Amino acid sequence: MVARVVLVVLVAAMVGAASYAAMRGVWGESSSVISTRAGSPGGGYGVGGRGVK
Amino acid sequence: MSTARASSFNCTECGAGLDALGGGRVRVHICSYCGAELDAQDDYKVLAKYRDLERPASPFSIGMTGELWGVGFTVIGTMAWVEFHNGKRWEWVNHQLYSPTHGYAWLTVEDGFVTYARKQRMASSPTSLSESFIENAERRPSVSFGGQSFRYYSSGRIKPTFIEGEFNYRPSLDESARYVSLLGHHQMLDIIESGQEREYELVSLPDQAATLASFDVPAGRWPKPRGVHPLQVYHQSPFATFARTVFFVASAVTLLIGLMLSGSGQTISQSETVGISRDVTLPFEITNAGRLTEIEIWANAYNSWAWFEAELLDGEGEPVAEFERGVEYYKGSDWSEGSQRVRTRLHLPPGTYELSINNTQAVVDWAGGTEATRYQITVSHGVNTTFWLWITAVVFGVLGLAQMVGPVVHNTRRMAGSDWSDD
Amino acid sequence: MVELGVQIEVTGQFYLPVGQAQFDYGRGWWDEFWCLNEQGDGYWLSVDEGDYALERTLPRSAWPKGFRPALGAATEINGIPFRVTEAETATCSAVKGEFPEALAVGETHLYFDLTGLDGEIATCERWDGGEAWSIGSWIDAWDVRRS
Repeated sequence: MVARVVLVVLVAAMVGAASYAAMRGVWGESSSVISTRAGSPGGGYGVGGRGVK
Repeated sequence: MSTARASSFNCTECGAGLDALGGGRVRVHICSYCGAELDAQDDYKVLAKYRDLERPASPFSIGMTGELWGVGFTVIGTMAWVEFHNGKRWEWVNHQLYSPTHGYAWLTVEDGFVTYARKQRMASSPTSLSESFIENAERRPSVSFGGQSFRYYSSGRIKPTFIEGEFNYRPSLDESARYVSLLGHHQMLDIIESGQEREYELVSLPDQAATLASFDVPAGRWPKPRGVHPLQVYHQSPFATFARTVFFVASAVTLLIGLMLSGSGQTISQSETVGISRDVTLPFEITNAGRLTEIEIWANAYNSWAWFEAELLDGEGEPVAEFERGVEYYKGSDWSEGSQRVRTRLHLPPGTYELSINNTQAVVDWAGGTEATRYQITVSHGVNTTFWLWITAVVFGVLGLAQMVGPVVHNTRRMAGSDWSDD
Repeated sequence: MVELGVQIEVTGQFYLPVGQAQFDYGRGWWDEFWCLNEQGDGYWLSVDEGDYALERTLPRSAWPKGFRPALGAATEINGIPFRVTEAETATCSAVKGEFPEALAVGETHLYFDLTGLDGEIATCERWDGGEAWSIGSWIDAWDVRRS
């Protein structure tokens, strides 16, 4: 019984995580966009959902 | 309840003490000591003598009692059989069983499995499968018996090699028999033909451990099963069945969420459709943190391409990002390539922004192409990256299917002993 | 398994044994139960060491003509071919309950069991001054259930 509960919780967590990642647009930024804000570290484009600095 | 008078008697040939265990319908009794075949219906007169027969190894012996599906049986006879085919030799042992309520039956030990067979008085339809019919059949033949379908499993010629104890008919050691074995859902049907006689037997596979324990077979003499018996049903652990269901449900739910989240978010700003040579400045405001913003450029390029340079400024007029994008669209009678839309996705923190598009160019580089004349910019917010959900759905789908590999492998092994091949 | 006054189920049909007669054939004995189904129709259920057969009385008009009472003899009843597979002399050794005919303990009966090709059974019974026929089918012991 415990194993079943653990399995359901794990699976539900994975579905939840996938839905959350989809809605947060994780890894959804287009490449070849140049960040032009001064001081933006490495010119990177807000990976990790923190947006443009 | 009908029953027979249990009794002991002395072998009329050698004088050894023998027990009559098999009830009133026993025809012959073959003395375990001297091999004399005695007529149980006629004062145990000697009918024949079997000498120097090699006793087969079996976990069961005459006089053992035990239960099969809750019904008590006594082992009253032993017969060993052999089949030769393509230079190979198969051996098995049949024990005649007796129950006062369920009559005479067989307990068979073959390939380490114990099966229970009982004679049937019905006939199958067709009544049998001849050798030439099986030889010439294009597809695995089947017969119908008692409303059930039985598929051909194997056939051959068999011969008894040893005989001992009580039988409800008069077995002959000299006569060989032809058998056809067919596999139903829970039982096998054996059609056995010898001389003018044709017999039907239904074979079941009882719980092996329970049967051996019930007959008090000592642990050291339990047979070791080889392979998978054709009647062995696949026992998937309840957890695996549960997991399979969970995985399939999760896969379906994830797909559904994916379908619900696909689409391009909410349009928050859209420009007029303008001439290709004009610049566009489009202000928009992001109120929600942590979601994707999508900038879509549409141009009516047809067998041509158009080029755009974009710059994004924040509320204070500071530049945030810049990018270049091309719209390319080519189409033939049965093909097309590219799209009239090009999308750029960004993570933008809340605030006001201004997008400016300039230095546009339109070029025709394909026969019959027309230069893009107009374009339009659309900014939307809350776009989802649904590929996370597609990946998850596929992973769960594969995990669910993996739970079904076991039964498929098992069924292949069940049919491994069949002499039927589809070639 | 079968007992007087205890209803049994045979492949979905219910029968109540109301009479039991025991026939001794020397090496053992078997039972003949007179049973009533739910409609009140009478059947003979014979129970002989795991061999079960359910038969109805065959009207005189359907009795086979020129029946030769010998092992292996062939005949036809209602268009079904039969062969004599069992011949036995048995003495009625005990009688309990109700029967459609008078049965006397100590009376000797001559029994012929005839078997068809597809599970059919017919029985010819002869005794001093009488003959009776019945026809029906063999029953798998595993299909007989107390209900």
